[in-house]
Amino acid sequence: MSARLRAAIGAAIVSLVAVFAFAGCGSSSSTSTSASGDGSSLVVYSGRSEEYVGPALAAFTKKTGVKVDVRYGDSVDLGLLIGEEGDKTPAQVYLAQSPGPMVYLDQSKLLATLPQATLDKVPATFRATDGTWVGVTGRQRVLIYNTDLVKPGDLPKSVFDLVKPQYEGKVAVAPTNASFQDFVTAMTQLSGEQKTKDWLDGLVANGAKAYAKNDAIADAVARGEIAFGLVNHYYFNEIIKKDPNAPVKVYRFPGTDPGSLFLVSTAAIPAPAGNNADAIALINYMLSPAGQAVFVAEEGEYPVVPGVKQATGQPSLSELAYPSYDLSKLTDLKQTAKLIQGSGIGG
Amino acid sequence: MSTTALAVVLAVPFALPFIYLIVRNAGDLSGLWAALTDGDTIAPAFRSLLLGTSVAITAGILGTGAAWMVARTDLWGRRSWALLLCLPLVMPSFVGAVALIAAFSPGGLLSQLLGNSVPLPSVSGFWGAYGVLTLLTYPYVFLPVMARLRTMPPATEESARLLGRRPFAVFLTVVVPQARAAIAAGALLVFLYVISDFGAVQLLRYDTLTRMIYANRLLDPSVSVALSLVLGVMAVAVVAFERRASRVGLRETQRLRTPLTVPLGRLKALAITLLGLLVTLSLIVPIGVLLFWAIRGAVQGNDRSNSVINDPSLILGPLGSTAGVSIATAIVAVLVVLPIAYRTVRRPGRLGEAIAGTVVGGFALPGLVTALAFVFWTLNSPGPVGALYQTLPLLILAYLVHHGALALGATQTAVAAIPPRLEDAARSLGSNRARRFTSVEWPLMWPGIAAGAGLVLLSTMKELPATLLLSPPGFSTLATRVWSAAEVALYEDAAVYALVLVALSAILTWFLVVRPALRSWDRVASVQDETQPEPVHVPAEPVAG
Repeated sequence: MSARLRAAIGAAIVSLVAVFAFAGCGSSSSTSTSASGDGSSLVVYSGRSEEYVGPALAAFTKKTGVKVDVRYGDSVDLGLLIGEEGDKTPAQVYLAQSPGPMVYLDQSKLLATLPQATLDKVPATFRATDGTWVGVTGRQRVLIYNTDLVKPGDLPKSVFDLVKPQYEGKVAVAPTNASFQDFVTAMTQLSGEQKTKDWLDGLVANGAKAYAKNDAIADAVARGEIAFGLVNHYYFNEIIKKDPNAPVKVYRFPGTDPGSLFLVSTAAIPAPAGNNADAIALINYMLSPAGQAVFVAEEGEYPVVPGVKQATGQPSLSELAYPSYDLSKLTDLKQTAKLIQGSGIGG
Repeated sequence: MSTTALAVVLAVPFALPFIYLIVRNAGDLSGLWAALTDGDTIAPAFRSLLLGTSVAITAGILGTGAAWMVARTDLWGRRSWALLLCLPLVMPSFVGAVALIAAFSPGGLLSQLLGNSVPLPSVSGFWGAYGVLTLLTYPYVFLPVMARLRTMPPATEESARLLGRRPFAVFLTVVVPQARAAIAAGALLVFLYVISDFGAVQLLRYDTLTRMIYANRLLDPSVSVALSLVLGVMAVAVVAFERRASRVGLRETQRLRTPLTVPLGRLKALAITLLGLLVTLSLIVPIGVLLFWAIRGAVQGNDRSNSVINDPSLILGPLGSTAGVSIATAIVAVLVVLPIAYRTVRRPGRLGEAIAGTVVGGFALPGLVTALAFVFWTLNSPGPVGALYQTLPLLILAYLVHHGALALGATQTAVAAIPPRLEDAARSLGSNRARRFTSVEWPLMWPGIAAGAGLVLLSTMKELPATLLLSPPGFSTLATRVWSAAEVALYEDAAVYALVLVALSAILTWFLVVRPALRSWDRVASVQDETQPEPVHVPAEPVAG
């Protein structure tokens, strides 16, 4: 190695260290979510992506001064992770897209019971019967479709119709998504295990396409890569926000079809965090009118707290038709995940 | 403690993930057997092999062809081509995948060019992964083959030509066989890269082993650890082969003489077109796509308060974290490998080879597998080991295990380069061990060690799966930021983080990989100038067809 080269490498490394050191100093003083180790921050596992919960968490930190360290991931993954971690879990609050992962953790006795005052903010249908988790926002399962590819007359009467030949290769699903998995669990209980299994197998045989996330489905439907997508209702708002002229419409399966299940995103406190005051404060904040408004304004989700105004341009909660279903019955997280994986639909 | 004992102790961490996988699977042999014989797990193994083999062969052909054109023909601007063709190394596979997906996404470059009415094809699955990985990995073949071709003695080639072989036949029957060790070593590295890859196959949804391991890690951990063992054994076997191949390559090294220069004649334009196409697809297009999203995102703006486009200072946190852990890992890696390098260089032998082999084994094990082993192990352990779960020290340990070998190679070379006479002189002048180290050895070694540390820094900066699995809550690096933004299709945010990551990586790659390669290029060129002022040109015959 020549002297010049050595000098150059040396200079490069010194300058990089300098750049990094500068960035390091900058970051420690200007961000609130980096790990600081001073022990005062609240650890949140969030199965909902930063795009959706970040604004509410930031508002909470601004209001209370409590720092929040978040681990983002898939709801089902994080639920299973807390299950593996058991009493070692660093998580002090767990936010999930859907109730299923909460019910799973409750079955393993890994959740603390929430204070009655917190539970009482939400109607009994949107929270655990034993008080271990609470709904935060409401969302309905819907079918979005590309209006360039689908004529109104071609819409299915039921979610079960999607395995018929005319929908071959035209349907997008997100098999690893917690809302989809909870929908499958509910379908198992509402329509029977065999019928559900046949439906999943039918989707595979019919060439339904698997996507990693609902966002990706929304994108694919918007650009006409695929005609139909099974998603939560607010992903339609996401598309319209990106491109107001996108050729996409939202369709709700009529009546009490399992395809129009109404779910809630959820919050819970893992058992080791017990009565952590900050954890309770965070959940209370998300259920306060201000907290609810963030979710409603940012994403068009349904508020679960009575009296909070919902987003404009969508049917009100009382107008919605959906199957009546006890969300505490979403007990089969692992079985459903394996059923879906076993169908070969992928993820 | 003697150097030997210290080296053995320091090598232990590198074996931990593998030992854990073996112990864990041995405790559940029926689970291992079930996983190995289940069609659902054999299919992903087959896909990993298919993807790895396809990419390795294609990258082998592209890399060898490009190396031949650059090293052996009278192409214009060969030095610049040499530089450009190395550059795709700066891009991590997941950034390549993000660029591909973003290019084809609605509102992306292609839909803007073609108009919204033209439906774009889906890029996911085998072909997307194959394309991205091939374009990003051919430099692993290009670099060693170019170096080999530049130094290869021309005698056999000259004879073949004089005996009337056509240039293409000479290339296939003489040049390729002589360079085969370099080609094989490069192609094996590509194969290892592909079967270990997590980011590209996960984003492009091609169900390989890594994807299956990730999907089952919590749902069915026994399947996950069984598949991890399978992938680990595959990877270690590949690295063992690769080391043998490159050792053969070393033996073949000859003294420098003028390699033949083949005039391309009419084919020059075609050669330039091919190389240009390769550079365009592997470098200019992906960076162009990212720039397009970043710039358009900044111009249009958005209403997300936590978007890096609206608040550029959001980049400081991930930048600082990336820098902090990468520098820490590089420093720890040097401290750990230095005693190992001393032991293995100064007292070569079986034990030394075993120690070095262990460190290399840590490198061979895919990052995802290393990380999962540490996750399971700390989760299932009580006391201090269990307390390491989701802490920075554990993350840095995983990085060390995965990247330590990069520092070991450079450090071994640095230790070996200390002339024994200098040490003897220092000793006879009464210097003790510490004094000899600080005043004689360290000043001689540090540039080499710095280069090794730089390689660790570079690789750690771009690491994804271990960072995803082992990070403490709230800790994010540039790589995980690219990842999470891409997962929710926020390509403008992903593009900003990716461009910063690629820029940092480019600076390091320039000094650590590209410049040394160009130096050796210039060295060969200067030897040529001294020995043979007038290079011999063998008349080219038109290639048939």
